[in-house]
Amino acid sequence: MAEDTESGGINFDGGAPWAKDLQKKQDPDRVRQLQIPPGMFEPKPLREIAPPDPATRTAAYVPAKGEAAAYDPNLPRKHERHGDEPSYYDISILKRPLWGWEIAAYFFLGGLSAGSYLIGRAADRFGSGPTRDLAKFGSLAALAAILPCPPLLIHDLGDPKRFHHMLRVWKPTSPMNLGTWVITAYSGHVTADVARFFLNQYGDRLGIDERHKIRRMMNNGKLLLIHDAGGAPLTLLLASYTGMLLSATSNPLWSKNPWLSPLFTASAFSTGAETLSLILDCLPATQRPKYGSTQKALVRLDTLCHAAELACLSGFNHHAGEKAAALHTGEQALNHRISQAGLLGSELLKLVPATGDLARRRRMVSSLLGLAGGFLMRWSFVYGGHSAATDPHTARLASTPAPAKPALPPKLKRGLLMAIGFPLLALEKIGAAQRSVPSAGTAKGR
Amino acid sequence: MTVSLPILGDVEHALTDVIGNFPNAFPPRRTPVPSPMDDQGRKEIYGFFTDTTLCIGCKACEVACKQWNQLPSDGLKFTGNSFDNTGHVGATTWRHVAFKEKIAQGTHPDSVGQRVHHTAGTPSTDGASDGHTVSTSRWLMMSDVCKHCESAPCQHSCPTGAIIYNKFGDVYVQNDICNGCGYCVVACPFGVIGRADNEQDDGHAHKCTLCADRQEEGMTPACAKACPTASIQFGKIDELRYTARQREEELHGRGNKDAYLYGCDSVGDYGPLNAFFLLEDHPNEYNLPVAPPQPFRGQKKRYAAGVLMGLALTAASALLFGGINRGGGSNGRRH
Repeated sequence: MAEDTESGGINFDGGAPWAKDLQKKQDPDRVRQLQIPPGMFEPKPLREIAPPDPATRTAAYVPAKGEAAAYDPNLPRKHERHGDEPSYYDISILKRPLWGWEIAAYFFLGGLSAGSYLIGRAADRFGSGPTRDLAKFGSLAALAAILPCPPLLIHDLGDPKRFHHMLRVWKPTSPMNLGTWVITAYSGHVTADVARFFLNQYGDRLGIDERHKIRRMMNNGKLLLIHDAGGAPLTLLLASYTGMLLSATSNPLWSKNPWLSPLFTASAFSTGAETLSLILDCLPATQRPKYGSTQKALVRLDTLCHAAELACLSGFNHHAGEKAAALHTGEQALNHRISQAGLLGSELLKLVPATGDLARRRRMVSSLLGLAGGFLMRWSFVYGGHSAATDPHTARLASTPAPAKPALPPKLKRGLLMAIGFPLLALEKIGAAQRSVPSAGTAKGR
Repeated sequence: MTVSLPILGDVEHALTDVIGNFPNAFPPRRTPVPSPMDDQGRKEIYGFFTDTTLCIGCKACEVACKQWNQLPSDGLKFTGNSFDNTGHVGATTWRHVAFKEKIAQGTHPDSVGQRVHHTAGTPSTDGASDGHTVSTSRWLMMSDVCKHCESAPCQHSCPTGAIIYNKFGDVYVQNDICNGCGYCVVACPFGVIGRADNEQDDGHAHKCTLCADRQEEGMTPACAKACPTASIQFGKIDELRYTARQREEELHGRGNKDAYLYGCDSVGDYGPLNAFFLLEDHPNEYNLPVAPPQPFRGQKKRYAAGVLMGLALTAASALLFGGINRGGGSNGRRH
């Protein structure tokens, strides 16, 4: 019986051989877990609660910032702002986008790189004299801008392996997959260009002279043509796919907006032109004069791109309608306004008359304003998506069929018909009269 | 035969590691899965039919889903929105029971369109009114889930090929190659798929798998198995659609004219959904989109618009740079 009590009331003698070992063994972790820390069960002193102050008891409840809509009964609840719109407790249907500053910066840098590279190549192919030097500056700027892009994307993903996972399939239905292939190919492409310029300039010092196989191959006209023919579509895709990527989502701000891709492309070109203009302005004073006419062309191109950008922006706003509210009210309204102000400011600065060094400084400020505008444009579009998706009203709008466009009022319709119809009728009559004259003449002649 | 160099031990180890793992960089193609688009595949597609008129809001589906799929908790919080403290389907909530209290008293102007809600054939009249108005207060409950679209935008958008249609026609996320880019999160118009950001999982996309592992064994998904009122029904999609239409007719016959099927036929830009619902109110009342957009429609045109803009601006720059020569002033080559 004594044995029984030792082994917890069970006799192990005739039992399984491992049972006794089990009894002897003690799990150190288990013991540690079971140890009760000192003072665990000691009663804690009660928190002292101040008696309510009669002066403050009757005072109106002042809600904290952002709490007003939920608690103040006098204010309309958030979902009542849009009338009797059906909703589920004003919780947004859509999820908030997960893209942050890395993506905004990548969109800007990728666009800048594509823009400056293409402008450089165009200058090389169609320009002459010192204008052709833009190719060198363009390629250098393109490489400098594309280099931080993969690290930015990897930082967003959190692991270099995850970047590789996008390259294990070729899936052009996904703009992101296509874009990953494009930036991978494009970086190699631009690197080849930069290597060519580097070898042409410093090759002799490295012992690779003009007759060297590598340099002859690199400067071969036919190969260069193939290089450009392959690079142009690649670069155009890099400039335009970022807008396309955003428009292939269900986010209210971006969803299916056909103006987003041209807008980002135009911005890519304008930032590229501004970067090249800045580079030319930062050159030593002895080199600057020969690029005078090139600068003028770049500034004109920049103006053209800005005009295209504004046209696309108005098209975007027209297409999105109320869904673009995130850009005009809320968190990103200021950034968006500053981006437009930067764009307009850079254009206005170009109109200010200036000569000599003042003109150069004015042009530099104008370029910087344009670059800042381009960056803030991407920023406001990426972060505007966050506000658009979290606002339950715009989230509902994204999945609500657009109301049929109102037909023209009958009076206006009649007026338009008359405005078009009468001149046509008049022309017809004049034509008929003219036709009848020679026929009459021939009849007379007969 | 391996030649080991004692000095370069670590280097050799690293090299053999790289060489040994080299084939893994190019994983073999996965076995082809039947497309839900072709007729042969369509027969085998399974899905959910969620009948909200039968839902009692017990949240058994939510619990069963969490248990079976070992999903972490969403934390303790009170939303104040009826009995719903979950809020939304997401990365760690694949079934979500929505509770919507629709309180309408007598002839209040906000009452739900003065609709007559018949319960088991007899309208419950409001004693205080003149007899024409009836109590219209209701409690809507719905178990929300991934819709398993036949042409799923998350599958279209996935840049790694992690999201596939599996052999049961479900939209399935393969977590080993998901890179957490978050594109599917913005692509889904139903706001279903989410990215996990917790201790166990560093940023992978998750959503309902339609219990593919249970389906492999011929078992019903956990939520449908746990549902005590057969509000969630699981089966072959064609059969489910047939029973759903029958149920709708039955409800209409009883006088519940508001009952309608959401997703049994096409919704918005989408064809029939593989997880569809029988609702009694406006879809937005259940946080479902009225006409979900298919963001990948018109993709080529949008690409073309961007590329054309780029081409136009390249041409403009070419003209501008070409014009310098014509304008004179530079010592460039002349043709």
